Amino acid sequence: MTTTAPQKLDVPAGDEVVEDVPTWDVIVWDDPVNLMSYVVWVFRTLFGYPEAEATRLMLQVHNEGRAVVASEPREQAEMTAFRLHHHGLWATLEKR
Amino acid sequence: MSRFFASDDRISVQLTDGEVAILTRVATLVRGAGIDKDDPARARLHPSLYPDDEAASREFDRLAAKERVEARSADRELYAATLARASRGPIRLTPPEAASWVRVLGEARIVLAARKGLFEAGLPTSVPSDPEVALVLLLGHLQEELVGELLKTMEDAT
Repeated sequence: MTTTAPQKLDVPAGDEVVEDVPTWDVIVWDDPVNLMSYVVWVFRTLFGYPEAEATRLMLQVHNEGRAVVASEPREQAEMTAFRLHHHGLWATLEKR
Repeated sequence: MSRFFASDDRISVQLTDGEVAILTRVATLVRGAGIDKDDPARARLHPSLYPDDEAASREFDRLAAKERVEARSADRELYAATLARASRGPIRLTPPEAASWVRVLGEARIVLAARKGLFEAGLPTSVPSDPEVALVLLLGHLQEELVGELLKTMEDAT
């Protein structure tokens, strides 16, 4: 039986191989029916955002028509969108 | 005067007989909403998750269908059970009960608004003659009051 001495791999420092998991943006779109205060409550309840952040995102949805409310791997993003749909918000996913 | 009042982590509710009657109608309204393919509320309650990928959206709908129905049914049952208590006098809602009320009121508004074309036309700015459009506004008023109290309980908690 022969043995092979371990070979030192020439890997530059800080160049570790990290599995690249695609990130998906969860987008909430504006609609004329859901109340602004309700949208703030949903963002605070689902994401635990403080009032200022939840309000900023709600205003972005209202003024710009859409806002990215979370960025996650696909499976988590789908669960987040499911919960937003359950709350009556119009949510879609977009790959980053 | 508000019908909802936050106290500790509960929401006290005091409704008139007329308000109980309207909110009971809401429970009937949302039952089965969005199931029929011809129901305009369907696309609003179950938006397409991937606007540019119909196949992926359909697959998501297929996988989520059961859980989606169960989640909405749980809300509606909790709402109906607590509303039945409210018809006998003032009640105090726990946080999950209050959350079910907020969601069911929102769902009813979406269903009515979708069927009346309000997502395209926008909400009326004057008193509407259509009683169902008027109901969208009234339910919005009630939801706003309730959400306002729920947000207060969050502020108190932080």
